[in-house]
Amino acid sequence: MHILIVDDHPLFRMGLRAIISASTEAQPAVVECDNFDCAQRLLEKTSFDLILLDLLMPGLATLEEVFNLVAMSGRAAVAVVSGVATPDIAEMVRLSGAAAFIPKTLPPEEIGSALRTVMRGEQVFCGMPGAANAAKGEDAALTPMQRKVMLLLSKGKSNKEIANELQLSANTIKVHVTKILKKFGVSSRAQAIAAIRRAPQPETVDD
Amino acid sequence: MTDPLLVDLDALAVLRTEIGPGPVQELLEFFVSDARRLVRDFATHTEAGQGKAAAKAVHNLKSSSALLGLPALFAAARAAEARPFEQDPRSAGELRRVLDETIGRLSDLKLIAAP
Repeated sequence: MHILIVDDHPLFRMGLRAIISASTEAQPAVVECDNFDCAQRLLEKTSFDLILLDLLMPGLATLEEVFNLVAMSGRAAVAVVSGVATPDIAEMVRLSGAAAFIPKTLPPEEIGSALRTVMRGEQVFCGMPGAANAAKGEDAALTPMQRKVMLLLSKGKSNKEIANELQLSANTIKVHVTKILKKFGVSSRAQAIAAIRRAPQPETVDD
Repeated sequence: MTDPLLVDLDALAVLRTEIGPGPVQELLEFFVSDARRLVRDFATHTEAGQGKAAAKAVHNLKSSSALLGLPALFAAARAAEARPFEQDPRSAGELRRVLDETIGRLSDLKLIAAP
């Protein structure tokens, strides 16, 4: 297994590496990046099976970058492991097509359990309200095509421009946009764009 | 209400079960210098009015202390993270005090070398 850990905090990278090593009999090849740009450069030339991604990190300014990384991650499962653990952030991570959302403040055995779940190819969203819902996650995440449409939407492109770029009809794009808005739970494309352009922030309230 | 524990030995035992005693020892030893750096960064950024950078430093401190079972430091980091933009110099002082007590307790328990 080929794993990429993207986190600017060296202690947490050490911790994740130790949890991963203890979780598998065959020692995985683990590569580390301490910023988002490093991860993007690596993904352009290397494929991974699993990517563990922090959110508050140099180079990762908005949630749009998470959508981008999932889009370029190929067959890799992306697990967001973050200290920013609000339900709305977890929901955006799920929509991005990531396989997991794991708050860093979980007890280590729960982080380990969640990582093992993802390494088995399943989904886990620990920061969601209610029970972690793998089945819902699969249905409710954007499809790869919807993700492409969403990323072009966020660049301010019209349905016609997106249709040209993806070589689809404008009507097909309209259907995708309608489904995207439904999954985001918003009524306009501007609201969907605002949602993924949001910057993940450290907690400012004591929850 | 009692103060939170400095070192949660049960949580550390679970972590040892999860990743093994050797890696836990490495993490604890690395933690001492890392946490001191983070508290220093927090103080520097707070004094400079750089709320976002200050919040990031305590955010990482919060994650470390959660991972290693250090509840008092976790609570102090979490409280500091919740009010970074107040640029309150007492936050850094409080964090430094709790960190020193935590490191002292880890040393008393022979979990790290004497500071």
